[in-house]
Amino acid sequence: MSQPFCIGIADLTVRLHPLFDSTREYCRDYWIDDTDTPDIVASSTEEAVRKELSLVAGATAEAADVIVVYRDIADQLPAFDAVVFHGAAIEYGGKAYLFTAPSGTGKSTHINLWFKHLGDKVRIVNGDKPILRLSENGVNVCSTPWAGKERWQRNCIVPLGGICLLRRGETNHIEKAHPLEHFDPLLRQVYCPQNGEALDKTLQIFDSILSRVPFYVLDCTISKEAVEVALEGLTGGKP
Amino acid sequence: MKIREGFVLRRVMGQAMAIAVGETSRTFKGMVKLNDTAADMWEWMAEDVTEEQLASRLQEKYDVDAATAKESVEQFVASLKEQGLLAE
Repeated sequence: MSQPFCIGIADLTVRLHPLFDSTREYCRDYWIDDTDTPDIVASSTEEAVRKELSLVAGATAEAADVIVVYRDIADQLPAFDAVVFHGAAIEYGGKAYLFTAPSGTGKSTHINLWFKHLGDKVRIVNGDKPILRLSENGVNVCSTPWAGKERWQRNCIVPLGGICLLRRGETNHIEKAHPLEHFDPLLRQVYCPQNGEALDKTLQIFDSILSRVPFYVLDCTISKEAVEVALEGLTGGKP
Repeated sequence: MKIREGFVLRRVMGQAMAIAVGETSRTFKGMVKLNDTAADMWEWMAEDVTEEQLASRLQEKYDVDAATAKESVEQFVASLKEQGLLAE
């Protein structure tokens, strides 16, 4: 068992009890001083790591440890009006925009285009598994150490300006859509706890998120025009 | 006749859906979308009921004739069976 340590994510204090020191290192950008009263205590166990390894071919025990502690956090987040969402969030003009799509659709490719064409007007929030937390009137995107293979993340909390379902297309087109028309792909990106009470709360939070934040569908190619179309649709602005 | 245990029924954006929890989520992946009458029947089937009881409750609540209610129940029960959602 590695030394426990504390991180700050989503305005919450979390004490982690991982198996490996590598998990502590993974969370480096989010370290905070130890606290006696963390909001969440999450841990990893040899059994959970073994199980994770049996599910994912080629994974290392260290990588599994990182996943196991995050799952323990994710199971506890609904009590704090927060959920883990699989998607890539960037910040532009003070707002965060969250791109979501099944793995392999090209979220990273699209976000790279934003960096390439808009330079430092765009900043990464989190490239893979940010937390969405209800705020007083809106929703905040909260970065976490869990940021996919590229490890694109910046320790920050940014108000969410929109959720955008990304699809590969022949042309570039964005439009506002009703979330119910795309509900299955959307719900699949929300972490759903196995515990009934936590799942119930997760669905309530997801309902609030969708009613507070606009939802878009973007069909796009890999081009500068894709960024221009997305930017105008999401923010109303020109590059 | 009862609904299989281990599901949470909830509305998101007005859409009713049942999602597997706990042990059930290991064997049943995804969710079941339900329209309003199906969501009602799902809730009524938390306890042991017959098709006749479901039909008469539908008739009461939705002001439909007996034949329509019976048909809705039959269709719903058939789709539950097909998806393995009835309690053994």
